[in-house]
Amino acid sequence: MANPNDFLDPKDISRLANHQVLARRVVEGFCSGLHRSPHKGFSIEFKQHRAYTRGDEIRRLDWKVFAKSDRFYIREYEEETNLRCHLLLDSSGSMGYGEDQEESPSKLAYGSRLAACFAYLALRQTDSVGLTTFDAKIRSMVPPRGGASHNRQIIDLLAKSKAGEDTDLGGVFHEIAPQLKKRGLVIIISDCFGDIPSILKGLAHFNHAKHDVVIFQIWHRDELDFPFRSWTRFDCLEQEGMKHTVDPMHLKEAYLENLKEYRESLVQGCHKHRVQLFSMTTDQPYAEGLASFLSARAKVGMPVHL
Amino acid sequence: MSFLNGILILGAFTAVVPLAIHLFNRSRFKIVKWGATHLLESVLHKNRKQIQLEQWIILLIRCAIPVILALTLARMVVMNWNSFLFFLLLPLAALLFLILIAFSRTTGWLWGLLSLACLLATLLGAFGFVPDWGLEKKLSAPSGEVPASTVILLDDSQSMNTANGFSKAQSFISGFLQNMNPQSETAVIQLGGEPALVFDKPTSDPGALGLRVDGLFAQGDQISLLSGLDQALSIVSNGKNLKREIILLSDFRTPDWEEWKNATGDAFRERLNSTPNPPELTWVDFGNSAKKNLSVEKIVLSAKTVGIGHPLRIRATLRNFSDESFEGNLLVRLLGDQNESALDEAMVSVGPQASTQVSFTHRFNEAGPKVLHIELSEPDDLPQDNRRSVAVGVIEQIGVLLVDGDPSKEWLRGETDFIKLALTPFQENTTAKNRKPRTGLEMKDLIKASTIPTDQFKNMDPTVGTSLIVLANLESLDGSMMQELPLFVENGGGVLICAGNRMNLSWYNQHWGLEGSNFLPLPITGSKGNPQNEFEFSKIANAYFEHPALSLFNDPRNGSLSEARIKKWIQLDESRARNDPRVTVVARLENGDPLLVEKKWGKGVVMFLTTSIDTDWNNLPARPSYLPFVQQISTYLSEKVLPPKTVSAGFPLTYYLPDGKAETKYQIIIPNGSKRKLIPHKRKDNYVLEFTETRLPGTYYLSEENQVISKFVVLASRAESNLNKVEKEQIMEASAGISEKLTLIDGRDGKAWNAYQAIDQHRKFGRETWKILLAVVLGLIVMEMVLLRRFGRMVR
Repeated sequence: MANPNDFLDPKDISRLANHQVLARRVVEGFCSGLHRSPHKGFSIEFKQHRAYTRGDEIRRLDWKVFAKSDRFYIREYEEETNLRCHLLLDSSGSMGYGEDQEESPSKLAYGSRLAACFAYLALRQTDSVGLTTFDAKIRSMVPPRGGASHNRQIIDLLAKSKAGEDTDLGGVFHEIAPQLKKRGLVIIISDCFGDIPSILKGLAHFNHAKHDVVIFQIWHRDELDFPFRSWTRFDCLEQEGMKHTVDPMHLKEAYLENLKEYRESLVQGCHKHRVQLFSMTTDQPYAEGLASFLSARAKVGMPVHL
Repeated sequence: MSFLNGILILGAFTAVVPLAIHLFNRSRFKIVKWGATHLLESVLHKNRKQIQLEQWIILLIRCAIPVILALTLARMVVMNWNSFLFFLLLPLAALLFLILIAFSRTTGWLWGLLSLACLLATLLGAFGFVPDWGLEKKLSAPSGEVPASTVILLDDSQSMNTANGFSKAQSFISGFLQNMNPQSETAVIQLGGEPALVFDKPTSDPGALGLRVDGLFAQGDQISLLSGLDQALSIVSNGKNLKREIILLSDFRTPDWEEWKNATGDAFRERLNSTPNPPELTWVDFGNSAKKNLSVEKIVLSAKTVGIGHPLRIRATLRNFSDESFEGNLLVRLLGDQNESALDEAMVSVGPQASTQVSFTHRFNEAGPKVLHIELSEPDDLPQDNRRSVAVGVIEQIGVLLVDGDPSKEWLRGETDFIKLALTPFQENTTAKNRKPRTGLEMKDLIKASTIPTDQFKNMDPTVGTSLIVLANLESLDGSMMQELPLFVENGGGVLICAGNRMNLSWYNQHWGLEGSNFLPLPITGSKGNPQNEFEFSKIANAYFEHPALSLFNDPRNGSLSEARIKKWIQLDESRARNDPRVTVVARLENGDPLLVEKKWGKGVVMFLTTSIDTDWNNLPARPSYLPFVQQISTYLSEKVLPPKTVSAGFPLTYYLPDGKAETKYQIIIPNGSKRKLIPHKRKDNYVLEFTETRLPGTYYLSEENQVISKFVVLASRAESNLNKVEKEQIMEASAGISEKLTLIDGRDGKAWNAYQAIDQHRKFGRETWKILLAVVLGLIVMEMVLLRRFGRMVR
């Protein structure tokens, strides 16, 4: 049984929790789904009290509790979740880069934590969340559900996932898209290595099904900086036997050039398909990255159109 | 193409270092499991060939840097346009074109082709398959401004004094040194006698060199031109400058050029022609022809060592090299030591181009080292050869007692007759044959020898007036004498035991051998040979005699001992005394048997001659070397032996020190007045002083704490008096094969320096390439850095 603490660092969670407004927006964003104010006007069933934070509507304060405890609490009501969050985690071979390094986790580990964090946040806000791991095809799938115990299932799947096979993002997206019956938020956590037109076609499939797609592109710092100096043999993580012995100094600039080109075309493609692309590196604290993503989303008013 | 610091070319092997680093890096790569292969692969796929080419170029540049740096440090020189093109321009162009391939995709093949062509041309050039174009076009800056490595060969032989030839040569040198480029280096070799460098190494300090040259005098012996030229060529070949030159300042006399005719001349020519960057040769003639020259050619003494009061006959040969005739008006004087007052003088006659002899007789009245001079008082063109000297040792008379074991009343039949005749030739000459000597002079022998038969020997005291006892063919000795003789030797006397048919070998072995007093140098084992057989004999081995008693025979002019036939001899057991340091085998027979053995016994020496001292067992007494042989042995055993004191220039001076004198300070004053310290060194049992720098003819004074203990005379070659000029045609003939490098200047008018300057202006000496190569090295280093950056960028 996987320990949720392996994926959810209490420190990081507390950090996100401390940004209550932010967190609320997240939750609100999650909760509100495609409707601007789903719980405005009616309360179905009382669920819990929550501490008041600045920005909460004063009318929602529970004055009785205030009278008893001299503290502000907001009444919250159980309501039917109208958001389904689909987490798609790439567990292909290339995501395994950085496994043997001590200073930062592998891309897959980083992505798993990110997925766990999303799941936790969504489930805390009583949204339903599902997880699909894939490489060239779907590896395993946890269908979207709500409830605190669902988190355990997701964590278990994350713990089981291992980087291994070849990637075919375009193909696997086409495979996943029909399985997501109800439209919702699709969060793809991947390094997006592969043929860009094919990836974009896959994304278009999600768009077509009216999903809201966010890609978290996970990079390792080495992939961005290419810091190798001495003669190096690059063994491909995805294809056995593909080995290149080169002088990296000689290739560095060309590689970086190639990388830049690749990233630009991916960004352009995502923009074209109204997919939000957010890059993170494994040496970056994921909570920080997530927070900045959320704030950036808030700024452009994305909660409305999520 | 040649190199001024040839050895540094080995530095080119450091080119393997970048190669090794490259291979090392390739073999020790890091393994990275890489995810973003699609990003890397597209880069590699498009540019694999380009990357390989670039790596080759970078590797080549890295290897070329140490090679070109080595060429720079080795100071590569190109002599003409041909080598400039094939060894400098083309290889560099090949490298440049190779780099250009990497930069242009479309015209890469063109640059590749050009690079290959340049490389091919260079290789062909290296193996000599190139056109002769440009070979004759020498590369150089104006010669006057180029620093030079010069060796000046200065003839300081006596003949250079003729008509101020030497001072003209000196002024030429001072002119040369005043105009010397600050980076030039110059060495001056004195040619007279053995060639000698004025300074040990070529110097760039014209002042110091000029002072030394000004202080020189033409006192040297006949020059050895070829050995001087050889030495100069060696120095100049290692010169640090490209411009190299040998300047010979001489008077070009006939005797100096004799050696050019034989193989040594050819050897020099060959060596000169095979020298890379050979020097220019400038020969300046300072030899004015002489009208009148007289010389004392030779001095012959009746004896090299003479007793006090004994007459010494001095015979001098005088030569007149001029056409002038002297009819009894040529004054010849005999001078003694430093005392310049004449001891004797004579007026002689000598015809044109003829020689004559003059004799003097002189008696010394005190013992010690002496020098006699014969001087002509007639002024001539070369006054230095008008005087010649000779060293004489004056000693007390030596008493020698000859004990005859086989006496005879018939002349020359007794055992000791020959040795007595040899030891006292003058006495025998007047008494034995009852004839008067032809010269009419009463010459006394250095040795006073007396003969006694064995029976009389018993009763006498050997120590009185005798320093050497010769036991010739003695059967045995009676008891008292048997013990007396070792005591006599122990106190400083000498005993010579000579073998013979009467000798009782077992008696000698028993009483003086190992069982007895061990007085014999080596035990006797038996005898060998048959005196009756004319065809069976051995000879004395003609080895180099280290022993002072026989060192006289190292000079073949004093005769050879190996002429004599030894028909019978006594064999000695050498194995018994091999480790005895007192025993020395002085001479051996050709079959290895000892002939003469000595044993140090107390203060004296006992010697054993294994054959007879008369003609019984050998024909030694009939050979000319017998007289010096017995005289040398006798004087040695009497401790009066002295190495020759009159030697030719270049031969070493030797002085045997008495025991216990090894710690004293010795110095020698050479003819130019300077003093040299001498340190005794051990040779066998004796301490010896040796002085080898005898290039200056004249008198050398050896002194021990300011007291002169010996005088030596070093004689110049007689050839120096011959002032005949060698013809210009002969010089050109002798210089066949080197004449294209040779310039001949006539310096007899004293204007040689101006003539030299005019000629030197037009010479060319090739060009050093280090500046170009250094620029190329720097360029390559920058290029390597630029290319490394550039190559990374090129790939898309």
